[in-house]
Amino acid sequence: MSAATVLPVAGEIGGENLAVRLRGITRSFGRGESKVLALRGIDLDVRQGELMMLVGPSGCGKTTLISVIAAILDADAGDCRVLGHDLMAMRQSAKTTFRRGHIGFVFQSYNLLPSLTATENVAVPLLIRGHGRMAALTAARRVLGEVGLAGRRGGAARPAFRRPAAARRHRPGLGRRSGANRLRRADQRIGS
Amino acid sequence: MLAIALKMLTGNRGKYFAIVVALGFTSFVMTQQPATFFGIMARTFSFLTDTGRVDLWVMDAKVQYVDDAKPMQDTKLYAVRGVEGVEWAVPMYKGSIRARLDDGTFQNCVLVGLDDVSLIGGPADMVEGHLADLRRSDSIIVDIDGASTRLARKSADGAARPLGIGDVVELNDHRATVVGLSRLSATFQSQPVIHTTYARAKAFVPAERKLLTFILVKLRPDADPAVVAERIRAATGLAAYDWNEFRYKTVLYFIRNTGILINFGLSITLAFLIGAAIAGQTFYAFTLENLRHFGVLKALGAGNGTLAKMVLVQALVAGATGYGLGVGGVAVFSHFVVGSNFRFLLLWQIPLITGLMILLVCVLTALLSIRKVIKLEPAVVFKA
Repeated sequence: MSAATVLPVAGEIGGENLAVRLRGITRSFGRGESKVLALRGIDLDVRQGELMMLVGPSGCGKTTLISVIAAILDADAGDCRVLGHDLMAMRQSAKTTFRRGHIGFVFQSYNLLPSLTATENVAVPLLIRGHGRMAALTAARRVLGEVGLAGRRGGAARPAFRRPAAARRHRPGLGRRSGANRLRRADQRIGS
Repeated sequence: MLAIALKMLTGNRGKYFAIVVALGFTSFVMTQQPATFFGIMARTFSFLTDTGRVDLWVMDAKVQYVDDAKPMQDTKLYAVRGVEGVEWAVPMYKGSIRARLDDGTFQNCVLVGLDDVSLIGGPADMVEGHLADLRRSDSIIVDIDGASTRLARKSADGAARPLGIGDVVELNDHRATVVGLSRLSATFQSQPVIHTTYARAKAFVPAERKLLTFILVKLRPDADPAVVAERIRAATGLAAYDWNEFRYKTVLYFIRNTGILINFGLSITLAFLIGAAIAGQTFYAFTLENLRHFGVLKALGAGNGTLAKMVLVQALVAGATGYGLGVGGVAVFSHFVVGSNFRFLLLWQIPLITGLMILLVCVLTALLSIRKVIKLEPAVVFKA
């Protein structure tokens, strides 16, 4: 992360509570001579309601950092508190529950499930949270309407994702991050 | 989430098709081959099935199976009747005889001679005529399959005419009149079966000093079959078996002295191994292909238990579909072979065992895939 720059973007800042508080976060990959230190003592504060962007060259550790914040990657050392939860003290199962309840994702490569319709893809997080299928699909249709895919939420949506229309494809991905998530993370071009 | 799992499975049509076809093939062969095997085995003791369940079958001690005729002296019958615990005992002849057909050719037949007085051991299912008609002179009862095929007569126009009541057959230069048609289980060698009386059978076959093949024994109500069998062995030197023992001895003989079990066993084993390997590998490849999607679900908060259930449901549904296709294929197959000369006996245990084996394959494959999914780091979804 040495080359990455943290750029706080001005916006509506709600209160003094921190959504993310990182202190001395380190993370390495590999062993021995091939060991690569991806994060080297990262300190970061992100306030509630703040829009934060990470900018840096490829390979500098942006994805590693947000993966640690999103509780899908364990840091080697440091203090990592997200929405008041100490991620370093959490077991994997607790992290899974934490992600389910608090983190919304918009993936760099969309990661839509090709066998599912747009509506079903959007409904997946709600289904994971235990919502009923009909309720999840209803909510997903509403969200798709919000991102301008109201007419393509059924079975016909799927072939559209196979075409290289990235602008269209990322909208279900956006919709998939649940409106209830308090922390949303987006990677690479989707972040823009 | 299980619906999502099923959509993931069926959405990948190529792999889903390959898994289902592999498991369907395995199920089909694992059901059809044992059914054929048991069908053949059932024919080895069809004579016992048709004769009915007398308490004991007494025979020469060297007899190895039901068609292994080793005649005894008629005096053995009286010796057996004298053993304590025996209510009654009747003679039975079983041997081979040549029937001369109208066109001058010969057909080997199984000749069964029943006790002249009681006719015990005669066919229970008479299509035409009555068992008691055997008391008429020169009378025989022919099984209907034999009468319709191998013993059928040629009409003047060349068409085959089934042997019927009143027709005369030449058995070893003896005149015999058909007085009845019976329905019997198909025999191992598919030869026509002719029933007549014991005395007449002795007259039909070439003269030999010993012609008594079996002694059928009825025990007294309080007698223990095993004890009486032992007494008969001790008193006469003959072997005595109950119906199940004799059937088992017959089946065992064919299993030991033919390659039938190895042959069928090999084909079943190969089908299982090949089908399981193809289905297992394809399902594992399907999981690997979807690993990224499982990673997405994991990142979104799906727990290992949920993902494991998804993989298990995918494997079980693929297995159930393949099993259904395979066993359904066997049902269609059996529909077409019923009534033909094809040997087929589908015991209820066969589809059950096949189902358990398919379940085993699915569970093992699912476990391998689940292991991969559980070890998956959700961060994999951020790799480009």
